[in-house]
Amino acid sequence: MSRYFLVKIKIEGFRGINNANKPLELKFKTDAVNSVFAANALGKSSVFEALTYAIKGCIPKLDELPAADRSADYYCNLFHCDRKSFIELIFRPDDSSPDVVITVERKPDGTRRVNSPSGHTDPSKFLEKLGSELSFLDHKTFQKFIEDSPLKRGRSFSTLLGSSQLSEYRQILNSLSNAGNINTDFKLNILETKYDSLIRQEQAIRDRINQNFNKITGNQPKDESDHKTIIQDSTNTLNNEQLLKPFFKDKDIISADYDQIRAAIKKAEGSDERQKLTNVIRSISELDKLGSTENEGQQQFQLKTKLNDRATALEKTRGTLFKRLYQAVQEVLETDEWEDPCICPACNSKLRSSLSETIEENLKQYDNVKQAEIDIESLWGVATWPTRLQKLENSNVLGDKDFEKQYLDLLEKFRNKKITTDDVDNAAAHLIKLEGIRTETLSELKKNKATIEESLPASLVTLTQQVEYADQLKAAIEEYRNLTPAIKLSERIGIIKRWKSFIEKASSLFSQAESEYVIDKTASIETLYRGLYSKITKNPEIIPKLIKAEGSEDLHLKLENFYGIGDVAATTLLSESYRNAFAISLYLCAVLNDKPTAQFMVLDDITSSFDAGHQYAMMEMLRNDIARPSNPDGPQLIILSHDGLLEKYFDTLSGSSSWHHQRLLGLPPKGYVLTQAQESNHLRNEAEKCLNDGNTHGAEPLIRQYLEYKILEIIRKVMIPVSLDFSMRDDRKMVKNGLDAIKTAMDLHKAANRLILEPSQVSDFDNIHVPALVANWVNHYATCSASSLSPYVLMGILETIDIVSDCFKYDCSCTGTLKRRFYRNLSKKDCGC
Amino acid sequence: MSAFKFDINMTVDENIELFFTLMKLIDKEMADLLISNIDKMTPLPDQQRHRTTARVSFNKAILEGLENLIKSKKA
Repeated sequence: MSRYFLVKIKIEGFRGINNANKPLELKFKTDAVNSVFAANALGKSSVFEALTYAIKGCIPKLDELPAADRSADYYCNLFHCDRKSFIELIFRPDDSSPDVVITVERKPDGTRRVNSPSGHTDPSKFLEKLGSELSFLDHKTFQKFIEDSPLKRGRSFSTLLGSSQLSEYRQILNSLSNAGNINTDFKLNILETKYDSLIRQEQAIRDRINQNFNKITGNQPKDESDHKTIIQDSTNTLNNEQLLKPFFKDKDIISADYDQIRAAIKKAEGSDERQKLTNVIRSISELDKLGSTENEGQQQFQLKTKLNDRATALEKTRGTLFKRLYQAVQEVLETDEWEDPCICPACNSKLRSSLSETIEENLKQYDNVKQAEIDIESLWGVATWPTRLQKLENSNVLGDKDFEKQYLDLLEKFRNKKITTDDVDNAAAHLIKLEGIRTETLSELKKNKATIEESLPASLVTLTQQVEYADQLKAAIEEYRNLTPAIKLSERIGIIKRWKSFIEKASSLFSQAESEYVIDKTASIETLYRGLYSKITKNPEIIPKLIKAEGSEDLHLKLENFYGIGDVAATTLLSESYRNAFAISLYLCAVLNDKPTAQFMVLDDITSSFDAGHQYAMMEMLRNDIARPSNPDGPQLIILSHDGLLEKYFDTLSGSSSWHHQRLLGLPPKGYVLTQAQESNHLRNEAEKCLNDGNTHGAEPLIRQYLEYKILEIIRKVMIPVSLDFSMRDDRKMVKNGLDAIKTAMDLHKAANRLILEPSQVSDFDNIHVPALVANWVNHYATCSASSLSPYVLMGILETIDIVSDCFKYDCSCTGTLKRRFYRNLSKKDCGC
Repeated sequence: MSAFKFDINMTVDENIELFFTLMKLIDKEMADLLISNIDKMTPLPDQQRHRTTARVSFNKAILEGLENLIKSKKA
């Protein structure tokens, strides 16, 4: 997979950079450390933000502001003529394939448009891949890392190590394998209860089929699931009876007309006794079906347990108004706008513990109530005892008995979610009473049946019984056919349980492996981050250590050694600069370790908490250990700084091939922000344009800036020594002081006979151009009398400035073509010419 | 120590691929369901209620997949 360097950025109309029709253009070298310096309020942060916005699609600093601040309105430069932002980025792959050019535009309404003039098929996705946590590092980021809670720090660290995706997967699998979630989402508990109930119903019907078959044929079925044979055998038995033969011609026990059969038997018997026997047999059968099942007590116990759960959870809730309040607070706490969970969003009181946890716990009680209600409903739905209660109370056979009817009240209470454990207990007691009445009645009916049977001819008794049992067999078989096959439910439950077992296994394996991975990864970078830390602090008495506990996301910053004391907290003992050094070491270590798609890293003001010595140590570490080209596998560093002292360091190295330095100049947010190279041409062109338009007033400050720039360019390029005052203070960088420094250095080299300049260049500088400049321009401008100069004179001054600069250049033909180059210093050329 | 380990010298994507390969060995049909629906859970939302919505949608898809498996075996 290709990794990408950043080789150029153009910015117009973004944040502090107006640059209407003339974008700020920064070029970066792939095999060098790139530094960009800007004094305060000269656009450095806008460059960092433009890069962040272009690649990540947002500026976190702005997005974190309260909504009332309308931060989205401040992405575009407020003074740009079109109020539009334009950013162009050029990325160079590390595999010699063509550069990728991406443009990002933002309209005043906040619309973002990403294009690729170089023809990349999915420029937005491309930028997304580059936007790793490691591409941008500023002071705020690593300070937050230090100050975060161990949990948040652990999560950031996972991101740094490139393992945040693993952490995310672990959380996902954990949530998916949670037994409660599976029960809720797949309704597994309900399905299992339904299945149990179905199995019991199936068994009860099978028992009835077997009993009735046995009573008709005197045998047990060979295969109780072979209903076809059961029907055939029963039909054959009945068909053997002479009286019944006409009714079973071309019919079986299912299709036979039992009313016709009963009428025929009654006619043959000639009395009402047979009808009484039929009725008694039916009543016995009805009461037999209403017998209690084995698990009624278990069903009642489960229901009471859930009712208790609901009551307990309800006690911990405070009604719907508070539920809405908790939900609103949770929503506020979950937004990025509310950073401190220990402050109440309603009254801003400081709390002792995190409000998030309290709110979560409160809302959980409402969830518990809801879950208990779902469970109660499902248990009620599959329970057999309420139906038995209803049927017993409504049974015609028990119609003349004296008992209270409770079922409808119980059902009403259940529907209104008012049912209590006492109601279940009362209903259970009532059911026991009804069961007593049922048993007693059944016994009476059986006695009655025996009496009737004795009074009837034996053959008719048997015939009547067989017909009734056949009718009951028919009812049982039809009931079985209408029953949802338990096998279907069983398959469904089986495959859900297979998924449950699979996802539990997946979660367990992943969680363990991820935990070990982070621990191993942390250990693997220990030597590196300690080495980097030591190079910044130069203090062997302090050895940092990261502690990542197994099975936890928390990351603790510790010290293995603190002036002889072991295992102490780094965050409480270390000074701010040392804490920052710890965090920076970790971030840099992560870059070397992770090798993100972006092979560049933008560092914005990362040294602001360091003194000069530590700044130097850090820059040396970055240059020698981290960045290309010293570390060929390292990132292309782009360092942004506003530190004047650090710029001296940048300046010193910028002559070498391994360091590329640029300085921002200009007048943001209204005017232009340009680099030195851009600034020079821009100033000259603008001054010329003014003069051609006859606008001397407009040209004068531009000529002044152009002269200042050219003098400073000579000083920098030819390495003219300047006083500390001139170097450190921008207000001392006057033209006259610059010219004096150049003149002094030239005199010194001339006296030592080491001046490389051509005699004509020395003479022109000393005797013609500098005096002309001073006389015609510097003095006039200083006394505000430059306006008396004509455009032609001012045009001449522009040319004189160029000639003065040219006095420090020579013809170089090293590359085969003639080129004017600055001398390396006042005693050397910059090449072998 | 667990039976499965991520390799610190491999990328995260490679490690996740490795994990899915192992899961396929454990139960290919279930692993295929997991892999083809995991994008419903990623990126993991910050807010709990959005996470719940994502999980419910994921499990709904899994249930459909499980039912299709039963049907395909009968067919």
